[in-house]
Amino acid sequence: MNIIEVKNVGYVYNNKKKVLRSINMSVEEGKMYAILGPSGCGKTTLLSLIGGLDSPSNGQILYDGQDIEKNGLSGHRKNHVAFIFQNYNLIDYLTPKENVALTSKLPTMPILERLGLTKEEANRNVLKLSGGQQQRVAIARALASEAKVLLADEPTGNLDEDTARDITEILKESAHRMNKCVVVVTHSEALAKEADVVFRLKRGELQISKNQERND
Amino acid sequence: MNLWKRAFLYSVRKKGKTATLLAFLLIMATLILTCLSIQSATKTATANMKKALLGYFTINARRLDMGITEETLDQILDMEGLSGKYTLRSYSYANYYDSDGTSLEINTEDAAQIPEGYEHAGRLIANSNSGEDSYFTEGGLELAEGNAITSENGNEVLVHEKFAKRNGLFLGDTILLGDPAKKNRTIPVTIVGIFTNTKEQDSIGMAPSYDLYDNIVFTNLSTASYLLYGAEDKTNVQYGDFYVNDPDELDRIIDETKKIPGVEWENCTLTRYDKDYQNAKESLEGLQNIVFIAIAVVSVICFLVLSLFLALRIRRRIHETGVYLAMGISKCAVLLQYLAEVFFAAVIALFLAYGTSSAISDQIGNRLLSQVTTETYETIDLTQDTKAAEQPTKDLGLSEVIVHVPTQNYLTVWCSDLVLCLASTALAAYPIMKMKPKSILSQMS
Repeated sequence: MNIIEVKNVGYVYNNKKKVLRSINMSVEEGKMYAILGPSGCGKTTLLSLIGGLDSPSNGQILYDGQDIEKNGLSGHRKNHVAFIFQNYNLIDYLTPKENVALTSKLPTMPILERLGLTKEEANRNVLKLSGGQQQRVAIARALASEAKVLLADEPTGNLDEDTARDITEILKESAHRMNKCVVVVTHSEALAKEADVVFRLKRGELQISKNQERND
Repeated sequence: MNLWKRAFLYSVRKKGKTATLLAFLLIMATLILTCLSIQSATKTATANMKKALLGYFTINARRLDMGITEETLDQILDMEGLSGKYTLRSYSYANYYDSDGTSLEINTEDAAQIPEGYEHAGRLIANSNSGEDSYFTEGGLELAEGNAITSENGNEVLVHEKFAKRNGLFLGDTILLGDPAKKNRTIPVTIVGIFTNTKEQDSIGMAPSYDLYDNIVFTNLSTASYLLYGAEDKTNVQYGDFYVNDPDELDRIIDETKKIPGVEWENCTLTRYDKDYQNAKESLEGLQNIVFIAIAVVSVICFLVLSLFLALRIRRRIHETGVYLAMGISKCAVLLQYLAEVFFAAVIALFLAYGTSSAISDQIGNRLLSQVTTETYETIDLTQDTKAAEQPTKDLGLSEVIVHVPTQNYLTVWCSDLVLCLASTALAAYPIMKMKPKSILSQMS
């Protein structure tokens, strides 16, 4: 069942530049989706609209059949989606445990350990962790929330090849084992290859291109 | 994690930023509290001064046929605003006779002239308490034997020791006082005290005989009243000094006095004496105005600087704001967190400010007040109020003003500082809070 549906969504930047034109797409739980496209094609804008960070100029976005704008974007961000950013966006005065605790009232250590952080690392200041470890904390923070949809914006963009591979695996596992719907915006073909579904965004228009129903 | 914990962790972990904010808030609270404390102390000083400088007014009823009567006096004393303290005075001349009616000898050698009819006469001074007369307090006369005259009635006199020696008079002797205007009024009086002069009379050789110290006699008001007005059962007086509780009310009280019926007020002179108080008050009001302006300026500057400081601080945290918004934490909760951080620092600053402000108020406040009072003493000196100028601090009641931090001011500063923090944080956060989360995140990028 579709958890998020994007219907005829368009976005005009500053009332001038049309970034997105009549986008239609839908995503389900348990799958990883990649939105692929060149820089400036509107990938991040589309992710922001799905995540409720901004409102579309036209069209609507539904979560479980409900218009997210009508139900409140702040509530949508809090309860339905979780973001993973390219530059991790961790709170710098908190430890990894505390960063994860921002989104969850449950014990945070199990999920951090599952993502490969030791207890000592989990209590360190986040800025003293490596890039890969910081991205793991960011993913842990997203997973710890009760959100069904993980929205990742270039999650491996700042990482070396090996770490990027690890992070990609974690995202895939999140979709396939934890039944999350993972939407990844990337310009990396390597990452897109791992997705169940790839959407290609070109000049503001979306095309579904490959890997469809790979897991079916 | 709730916003209070986030605020607490930020305050604890970002020690440098918290310390900077704390220092700024401490300076702000100390300045405002110090200004308020000084203002409060000047109010206390003004109140003390009212008590110490004792404004009063004098009625000169010398031109009235019957002077100030007892009935008029009662009506004046019943008026609201009078302190209850008053002094009455009368001045006349009397011929001096022994109990047999023989004229007594006066000092004529040192006199510039001996007016006709006054060959055996001298100045008669009557007041409520001879010890408080200016001849005794300032003129160099002092009691050598016997007691001061302290009652209005009693037909008593104080005579100079040279006068007593010249006429063979002693304590307890009776002499007669007669009216030199030849109204055939004489009254027997008893010598209850003998006085002397500790310094030579300045006007010796220039004054008429009746004004020489040797020839002056002090008596009670009833005796003078009989000689002046022929009043036997009642005591009428020529002059009255009436002290008031609040020198600022002198005009009202004088106006009300003039409305008392049965007195030809047009023939009386009413004079107010509150120049010292007005001078001191002017100085204190000047200080109060300066402090008031200082409070206003400090508050406005603190508000602007705090807003700027917080605006820069919150701007540097745009990244954090964007992350919180992306997590679905509301703008209101983010703003509250920032506010809570400022409040944490403000609470500590306000507690510390009590100590710092007490120390500073004590130093600066006392210095300012003493400067003001010094000006006042100089003014009193110029007005030749030597009594007040000799021991000005004690007399003005300013030495008892302790510049401390009153509880009410402390609470006022708590409230005003927290309101300033709230307003400054809101103002500083406004530009970011009105942005869409995506705009904030794009600024982060």
